Amino acid sequence: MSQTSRPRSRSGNLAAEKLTYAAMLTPALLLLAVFVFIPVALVIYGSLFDFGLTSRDWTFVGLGNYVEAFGDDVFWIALRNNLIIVIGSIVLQVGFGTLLAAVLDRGVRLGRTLMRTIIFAPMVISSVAVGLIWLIILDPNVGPLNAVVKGVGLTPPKLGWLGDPSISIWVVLGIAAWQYTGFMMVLILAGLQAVPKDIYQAAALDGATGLRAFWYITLPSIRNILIVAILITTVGGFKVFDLIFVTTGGGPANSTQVLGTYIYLQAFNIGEMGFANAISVVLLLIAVGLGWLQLKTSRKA
Amino acid sequence: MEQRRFKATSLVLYGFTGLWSLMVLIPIAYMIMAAFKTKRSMFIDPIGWPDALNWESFERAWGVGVGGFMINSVLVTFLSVVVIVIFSGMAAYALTRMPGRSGQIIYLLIVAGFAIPVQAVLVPVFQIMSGAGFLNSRLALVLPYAAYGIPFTVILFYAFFLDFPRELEEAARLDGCTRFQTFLRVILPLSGPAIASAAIFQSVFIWNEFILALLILTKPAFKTLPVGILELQGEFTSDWPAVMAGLTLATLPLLLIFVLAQKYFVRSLAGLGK
Amino acid sequence: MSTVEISGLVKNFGAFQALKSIDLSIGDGEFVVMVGPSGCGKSTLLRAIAGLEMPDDGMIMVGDRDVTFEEPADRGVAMVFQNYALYPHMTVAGNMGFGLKMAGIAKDAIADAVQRASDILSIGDHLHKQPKALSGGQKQRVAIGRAITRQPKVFLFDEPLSNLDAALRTRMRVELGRLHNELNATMIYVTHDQTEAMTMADRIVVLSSGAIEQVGSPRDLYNRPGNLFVAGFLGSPKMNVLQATLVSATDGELTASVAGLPDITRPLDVTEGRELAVGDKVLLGIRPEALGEGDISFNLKARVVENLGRETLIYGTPENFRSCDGDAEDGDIVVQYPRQYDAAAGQTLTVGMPLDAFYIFDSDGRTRSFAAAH
Ligand SMILES: Nc1ncnc2c1ncn2[C@@H]1O[C@H](COP(=O)(O)OP(=O)(O)OP(=O)(O)O)[C@@H](O)[C@H]1O
Ligand SMILES: [Mg+2]
Repeated sequence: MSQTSRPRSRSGNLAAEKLTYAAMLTPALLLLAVFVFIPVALVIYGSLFDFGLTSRDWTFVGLGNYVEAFGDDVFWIALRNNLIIVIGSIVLQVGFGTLLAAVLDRGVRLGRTLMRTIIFAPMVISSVAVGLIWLIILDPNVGPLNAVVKGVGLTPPKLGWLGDPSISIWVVLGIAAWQYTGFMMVLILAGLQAVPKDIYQAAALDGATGLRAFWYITLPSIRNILIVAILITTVGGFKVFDLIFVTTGGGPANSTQVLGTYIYLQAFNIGEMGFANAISVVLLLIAVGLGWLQLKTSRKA
Repeated sequence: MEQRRFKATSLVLYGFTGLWSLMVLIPIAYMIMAAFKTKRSMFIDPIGWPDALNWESFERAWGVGVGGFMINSVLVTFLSVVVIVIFSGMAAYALTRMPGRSGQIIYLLIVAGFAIPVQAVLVPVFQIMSGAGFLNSRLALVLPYAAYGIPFTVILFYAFFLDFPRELEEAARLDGCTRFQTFLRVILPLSGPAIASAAIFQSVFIWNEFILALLILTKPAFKTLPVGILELQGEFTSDWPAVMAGLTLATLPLLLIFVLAQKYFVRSLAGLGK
Repeated sequence: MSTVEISGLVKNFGAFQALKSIDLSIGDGEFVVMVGPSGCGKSTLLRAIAGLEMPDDGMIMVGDRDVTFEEPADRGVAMVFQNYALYPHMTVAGNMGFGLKMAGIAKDAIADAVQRASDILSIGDHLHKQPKALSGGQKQRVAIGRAITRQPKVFLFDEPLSNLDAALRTRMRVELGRLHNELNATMIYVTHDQTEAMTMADRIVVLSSGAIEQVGSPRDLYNRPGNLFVAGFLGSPKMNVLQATLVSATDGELTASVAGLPDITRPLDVTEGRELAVGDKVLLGIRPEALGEGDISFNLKARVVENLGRETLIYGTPENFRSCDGDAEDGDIVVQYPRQYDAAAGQTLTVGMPLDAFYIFDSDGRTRSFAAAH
């Protein structure tokens, strides 16, 4: 082979490799571009205009939509409700999930798989179905819960569990906990099972058993998993939509409105697409911030 | 004394988990029970047992098209999962094997895509879908589903492929495989656990996906289960047994699959913590 | 069956130079073993020959073909990996025939080739098993069988026996030797194991920090190491090294003086290298097995006595001189008796020392005088 043909054949090899990689990446990147990255740009762009679902004319309003959003009571209610769900879910889902996982990991032998299966099961039911089931259970007229409450001599809320603006968001929070605590439990259980069992024996020799072992040994050794669980719950709390859409539709009187349902309401029921985009940008910033946090903590772990 | 205390603690522990299991079980059991009640008995005595096994509610629910919703859901879920696994597998493999830093940079970009919730890009995604004439197309719905499933699956495969023994691929190269043939004939056949994990994970999410289906599929014939069962509520305003029957039909299949294969479900979803 | 010609081969990993201009020619049917400390570039060189690493400069020829930029599969080489690298999802036969299948060979021909290879290695009974059903030794046979099936011009082995236990390693070593004779193929073999290197090689290549230190037959390298590195690397326990000063360098003779020993006079065997002058610092080397009997004797306070059955190793402190390198520490030396020797730690022994068993290394580490053959 001549000297001159050699460099060419080397770059030929590399070019073929590069082409293969590019071809393997293209489908995924194309889909991501069309449904994630371009929409992000469009949301930001569209938030600067006033336009409707079907209208052709877009009116440039600058930051007008943002000004409107920050002066809108419902926007703040929605944001507050998201925060209630985030914090409430961390307490309920991660808190009880950890307890349940700890019990299943160390305290309980008999029926462990059965209980794990049952507690996890709601995770595979769609939130829509979950919402409908609870809608019926909590129904003020024919709901079995009211029947039970009355049966033991108490008075159920007059406006219904989901119809009373002062408690409805808490009821929704409870339903979410019913659905997702099992997921958190399984997540944390996997972390617990990775903890070597002999450190419990070592701790027992040091006098730490029972609750003290849980506090000083178990919790610190699943710290990373707990952080992940809290982040997943936080992200989920900001994304919540299905459950609220089905059970309350954001009502009564916007008392259960969250960012997701409010975006949907503004965009597709009222037709304020630009305004909806401005709220979307807020949600986007929160989500990206949380994602960044997640990346940072997982890097450290 | 120690023995007694131990018994008391374990009793409390059993009580706690048992109670929670019961709390989870009762609404599901009630859904199935109520499906067999009549409208009348539901109204008069909501917590009483059904007088008999009444299948009429199921017939009414079926009449709304639960069967069709189910077929749509199976179709959309199956296709989406196939697309997600293939596209993500190829992308993750290329990213782990590309020389230089470009692989890592693109990987970070995809991870960033993971952070974007569909709720935050609802308006433009609707614009894109309707602009492309994709409203009420079950096949077209596969595209955004795949797009939102890809980042997580790429992350999962990326970790798997990074740990893949280098010598196996080199042996394949010596045996005459091109990069793509190596991927197809050596990597993929050995990625069973990762593929299963990804497939289960995405199946659960796509089977239950609601918001996009709500926007894109408005004609009853095309609806998937989550939006389809909302029809039940509209159709039978006070016919709760029919709604419960529809919900039973919609949720029981996946619940059964889950109970049978719960080990794999749990393993796959718990992998999220890694 | 083919020659391999490597010239000016350079491989960089970023700023790190893993191979620094390697030149090496390997004859047809030769068994070449590459040794060197961990990280010196043995695997990198082997993988460059296989085509798994792209060199940054230089050329590799197999036979009379330049393969420097050819795909691995087109070079006519086969490689056996340390951890077998068998495809877990294929049967033994599938593993062995995969290369031919990818080359588009007909099924019957593949089956024949697999059969032939499995006969040579007597793994015919396992052809339809999955790799996970095999023992470590059987897996290694299959990996070798996979290489044979492809009928390569050159076999490449990267520490193929290091995952096996000692007894199995010895058996496979003998078997590989037989295989080499039977196939009469060119083989390039990387190992950490000196016994493998000494027993199997036609020629040994000693590498250090990405460069070749010396190439030669096992005996040649052992008896006439070109420098201190090779002298120290081959042989176990290592050569004892003492510091010395040149007191005369005339008429093709070197005389060095060591504190506590009579002056050592040896012929100047190697004339090339730095100019030698009186007063130069030099190093003297003597192998542990050369000690025991000889011209003079000295007292040694034994610190550790290792009775190995066939031989006895004594680590101890000489009464009147110090070493500066070797397997013993703190200026101690090692003596190897080729028999059982009754001694206990703490005891003072009288050890003989032949004065012609010394190597002399100049301050660059180059060997200038070789020890006399004993
Ligand atoms: N892909 C790579 N990227 C960066 N450095 C590398 C790479 N491969 C090898 N090296 C470096 O090149 C040097 C030579 O490595 P090589 O694997 O050839 O050593 P070796 O002689 O085979 O060692 P060992 O006996 O431990 O197998 C080492 O310092 C190693 O760290
Ligand atoms: Mg190596």
